[in-house]
Amino acid sequence: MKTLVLGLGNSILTDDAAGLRVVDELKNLPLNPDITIERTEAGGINLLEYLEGYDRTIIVDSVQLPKGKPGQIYRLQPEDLPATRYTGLTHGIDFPTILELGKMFGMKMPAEIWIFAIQAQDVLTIGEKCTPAVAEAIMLCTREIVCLLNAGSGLESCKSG
Amino acid sequence: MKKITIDPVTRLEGHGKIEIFLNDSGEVANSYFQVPELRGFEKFAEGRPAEEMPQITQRICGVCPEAHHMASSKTLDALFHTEPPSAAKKLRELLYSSFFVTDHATHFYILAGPDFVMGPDAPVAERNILGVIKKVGLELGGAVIKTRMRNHHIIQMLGGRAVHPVFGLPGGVSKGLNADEQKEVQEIARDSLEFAKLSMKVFEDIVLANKAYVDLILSDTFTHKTYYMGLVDEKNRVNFYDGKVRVVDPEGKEYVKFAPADYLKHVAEHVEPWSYIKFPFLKNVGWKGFVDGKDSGILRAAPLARLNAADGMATPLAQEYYQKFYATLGGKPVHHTLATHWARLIEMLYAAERLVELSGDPEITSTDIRKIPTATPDEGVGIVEAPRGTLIHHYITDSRGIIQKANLIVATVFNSAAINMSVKKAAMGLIKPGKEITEGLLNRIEMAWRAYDPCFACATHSISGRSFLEVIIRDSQGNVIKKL
Repeated sequence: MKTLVLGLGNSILTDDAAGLRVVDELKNLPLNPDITIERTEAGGINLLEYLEGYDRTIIVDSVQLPKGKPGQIYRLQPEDLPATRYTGLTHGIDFPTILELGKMFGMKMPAEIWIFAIQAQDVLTIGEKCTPAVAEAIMLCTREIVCLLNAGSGLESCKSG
Repeated sequence: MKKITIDPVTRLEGHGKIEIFLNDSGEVANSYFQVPELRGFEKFAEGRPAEEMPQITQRICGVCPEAHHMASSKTLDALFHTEPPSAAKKLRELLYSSFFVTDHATHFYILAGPDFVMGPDAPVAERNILGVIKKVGLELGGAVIKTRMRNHHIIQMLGGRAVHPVFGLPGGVSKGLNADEQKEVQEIARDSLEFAKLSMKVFEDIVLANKAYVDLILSDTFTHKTYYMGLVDEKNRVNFYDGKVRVVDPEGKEYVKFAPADYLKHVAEHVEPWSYIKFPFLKNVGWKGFVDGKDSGILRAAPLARLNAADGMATPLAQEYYQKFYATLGGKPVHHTLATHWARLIEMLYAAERLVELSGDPEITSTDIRKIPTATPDEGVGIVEAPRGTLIHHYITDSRGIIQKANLIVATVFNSAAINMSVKKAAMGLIKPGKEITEGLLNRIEMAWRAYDPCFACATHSISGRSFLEVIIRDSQGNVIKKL
């Protein structure tokens, strides 16, 4: 199964880099050759260009949910993200819209999508180091993704808590 | 007092919001445009080698990294007292023109498009890029996506990657174009020009041919008489990459024209207790509050301002539309904020024409693309036009080139006072006692700031988990009485 693991974030905005750090860890590990590891600091519609041509995609990003604990890992699928089609900013185009756009243009969009989101503590301070809870979650998240990649499917058995 | 909040939280941490306060009789009392602050940039920059700045500063923003990269590269030229060879300047401008085509296309079709193609009152579920494509057709929609991708390819060809290029160096660029690459760029340039021409036609057919939209653009609700600022070349024509900063007054007369290094003589920043964002104004006119007119130092940047601040465009087709723009909208300067969308498309046409010119330039394949600096670095200022307006970088280093102080004034900051005024005026014009505050009405208010294409130091890309737009109306006790 042709798989893409795509890390998102901003490399100099403290915890916003969490997704990038996870794929940086993955790059150092021996993985199946049909697995592609990518990182990008782009957002919004720019992601469309990355997603084409894979059977399965795992996206890793940071998130700030209202009641989340820093370092908490969320495992989501696109249907868990409400389709919010309001476009307020240049990058204000959401993930379900990107997938729908790709399909409209006949691009091969991945049939299976997993989103690993790490609850960030600080995304407003310029800095290259994640906060401790997030740094720990990066290692746990990396391990879970390796487990998921090896297991093929069956996320439940890979959860680290 | 009631409070209405327009909170465009594209991500949950929130990135700028508009709060509108109503008085007891339901009229707009005031409004505030607020942006959260990214902390610690200066501290982060201090102590680093200046050459790292084009890589660091472009990470501030995930939307227009190329603008920071280019402003930073030019600042390094000034800092190290070196002048890039002619071919290097052309290559920089070529990459930058490519970037302008993609960025302006994105704004028109994805952000502004839904308001005009679907209509400001269309249901939210349809007022988006998918709705636009369903209406304008897959072919044009596909052209938008393809133009973006192919121009990203040009940026990747020169900068090594499509996002966050590694390209500008003090005194030049890291890579040139060979003959094969030139051919490919020329082809993309020609197609981009066709796309830009088609986009002008789309605008004319959908917006200009619709009297309701033209009336909306010309309405007083979306009008402010301010100073305008933009980079111009030696003939006072719009230039995105280089030149002097020209400011015209609300009557369109040149107020001042200055070299980048002199910006502090002309621009000061006003601080308000309720905002992290500062409000730049013309120092020698003075801060008179959030009011327009000749006595108020508030100035505007971005496409409409650039057209107003210049005497014309440097390419033939864009110049033709420039003349048509002013002939249609009643002469220079144009004060109607929503006309910015038309101005943006004229600029996209200019960028595409410039791309054709530069990619066909015999010098573009030259290998003389770097002049190694030899002078001792001290201080440098670099200015470019970002798609959203004038962007200033200013670095001070020690004699080893280590940053001691870095100051940036970004485009959205230049427009912050004007955005604040525009939102207030739109809210006052549209919210009336007894009139239901609908989603469509709030969208019209939002159109007042969307025209500026504001970018809230938008560096983060965390996944969005809820509505991009949150509107909360509160009563005088702060209780939520309505949520849209």
